[in-house]
Amino acid sequence: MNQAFNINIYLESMSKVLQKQEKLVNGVDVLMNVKYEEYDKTPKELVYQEDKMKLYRYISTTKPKTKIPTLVVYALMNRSYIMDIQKEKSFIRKMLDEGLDLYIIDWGYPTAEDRYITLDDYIEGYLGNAIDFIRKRHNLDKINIISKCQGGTFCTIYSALHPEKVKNLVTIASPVDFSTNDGLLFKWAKDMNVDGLVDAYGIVPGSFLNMCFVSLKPYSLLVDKYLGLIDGLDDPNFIADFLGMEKWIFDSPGQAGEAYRKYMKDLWQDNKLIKGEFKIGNEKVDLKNVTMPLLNIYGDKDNLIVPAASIPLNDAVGSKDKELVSYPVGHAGIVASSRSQKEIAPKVAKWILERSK
Amino acid sequence: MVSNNMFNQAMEAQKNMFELWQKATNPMADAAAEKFKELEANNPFNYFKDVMELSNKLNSNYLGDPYQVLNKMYESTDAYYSIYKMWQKLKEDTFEPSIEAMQEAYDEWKDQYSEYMNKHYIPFLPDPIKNVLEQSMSVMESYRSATSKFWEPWIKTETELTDTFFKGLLNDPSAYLEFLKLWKDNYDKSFSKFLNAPMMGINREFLEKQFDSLDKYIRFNVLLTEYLTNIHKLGQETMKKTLNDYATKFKEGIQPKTFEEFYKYWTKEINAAFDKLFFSDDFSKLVGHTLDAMTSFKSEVDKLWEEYLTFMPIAKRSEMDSLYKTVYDMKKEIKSMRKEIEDLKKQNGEKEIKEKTKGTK
Repeated sequence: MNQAFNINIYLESMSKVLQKQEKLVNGVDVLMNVKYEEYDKTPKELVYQEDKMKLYRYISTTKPKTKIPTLVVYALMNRSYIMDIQKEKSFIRKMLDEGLDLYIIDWGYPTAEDRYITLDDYIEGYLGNAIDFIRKRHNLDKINIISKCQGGTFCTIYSALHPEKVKNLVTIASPVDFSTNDGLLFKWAKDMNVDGLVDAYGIVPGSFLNMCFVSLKPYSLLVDKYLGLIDGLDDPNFIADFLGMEKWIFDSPGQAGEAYRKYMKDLWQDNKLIKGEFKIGNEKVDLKNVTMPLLNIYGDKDNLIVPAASIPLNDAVGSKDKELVSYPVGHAGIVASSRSQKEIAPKVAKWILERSK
Repeated sequence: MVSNNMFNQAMEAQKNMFELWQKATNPMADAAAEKFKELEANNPFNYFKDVMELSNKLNSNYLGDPYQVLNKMYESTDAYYSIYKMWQKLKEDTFEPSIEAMQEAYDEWKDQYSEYMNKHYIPFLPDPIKNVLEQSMSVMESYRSATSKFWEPWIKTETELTDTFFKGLLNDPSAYLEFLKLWKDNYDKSFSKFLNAPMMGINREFLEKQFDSLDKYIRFNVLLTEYLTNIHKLGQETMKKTLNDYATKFKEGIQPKTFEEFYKYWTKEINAAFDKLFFSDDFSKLVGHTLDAMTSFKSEVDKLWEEYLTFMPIAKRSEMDSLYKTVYDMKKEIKSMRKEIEDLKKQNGEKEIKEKTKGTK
């Protein structure tokens, strides 16, 4: 029989097409009634504010197992509620359940007036003042820090400048060595005219950052992802999860121009931090001054902040008590996946509690 | 008698001029006649016959083999491009004069015209008018020379431009990339120089901004087109490779079981192809240049908008930026002073405590 007329292939394809059509039709009802704004619902209270930066303290779900509070610091480029994306996958809730007393910084959404805020203002100003506020409130010299991505870079820099204020430092998928070309962001950043971008926009638009992120894997992120959605379109839980992540992925704040300029030029292009040439104000940042216990976590499948950018931190610091741990997850999955619930959050909490007696 | 001679010679010159134009439009009169004879011998209908034979070849003997379909898809674009090449050859050989022939004809006409004017017209004019006429002729020559110089890059590369454009359109995105490169080179040597030439007058700066933003807009579009063509080329090549792979498997007797299997295979290939392209140094530089061109264009256009809005009662961006800078500096100073005050209060507080403690002792 002529192979071109193999009827089974066509029947199977037709059947699949009809299944997907049915899902699409049922999915319309699901989309019209889905509730997906379950992110950032862990109760917290505003305790300190400076310009657009807000410092929140989470309401504990259980009695804290240590008097030393922990400050969570996320990146400027994405919103921190990925760590509290849903009740069942909330990294924050898990940490609270494990007995940590948590604070979190919300950097806010920079507007045109913020274009002159510098990297120094973020690190020594907003971050430093938030840490000082917590220390004063709890009458402590040092606090714990859990930091992710760019937040981890900031906290590493701060810890090098003020080791006397940091008890334990956890960095998650945080880049410190930008020389690698393993990741596309690292490769493309080297050929970028940062000055032109900042001078043209003032506040580097969040939409530009979104475009950069989806450009890394254009077919997967712009087409394939939505094709895969059809299979779960009739499942309200699946759609709620998807829409929650979708909201977060495209919820990128603009970047204060002068801070972005220094961050990209000094770190991403000139790689000054790991080379010991990076300065905040007039002070050089020496990573050997990071002497507090360090837990450095990275994702093996992270295509945004590749492992090669995070791993060198452990060799660069002066800490004696330091640990490097990897998990087979991506950049978002490291704080918003079932593995982060079962393995990563408990690991972080246990590590901190052991060193917070 | 003189006027008779002049009249006859004028008529002769006119006749020569027409003959020259004729010669120009039929560049190789004898050679062309020969070509026609050749064509007649070959029978232009033969071209049509070749196309029909190809078409029959494409459409007959179909055995339900997808590999045949794949080959036919490639051959059909080749056929279309072949027809374009055939038309181009016909055009060049028979319908249009070559650039060199036109130049030759023009030069000959110009010499004859100048000779005629110098012998039979200018000598009879009063001196002041003679000078004006001679200068006019010189100006005309300057216009021609300047225009030729300006269009020279385009004229020189006309064949290559058309060829690569059509090849890219019909057959091969790589050819379109070559077209873009050539177009940009020509643009740099001609229009870009004009747009970037210094302006004069009361609106000098405004005109320069307008031309500058137009230049930047064109450059940005060229780079963006190059970027998108690379993506398109990648998609085309990946599809070709995937179909070839499946055709090979089909020949080996391995059939794709489901469309999903094919789709997953294709997705894997396209993602790998994207990674390969994106990680290349050339593409990384292209991304950087495209972004740079975009931000350059935006900056220029923003400046233009500020010019347009100068006399409107609204705050401009540069004015707001200046205000933001002032506010930022003031905020920083206030925060610094606040900190100083707190430190002083703390020191005073400690001093008071010390003194009180001293007193109680």
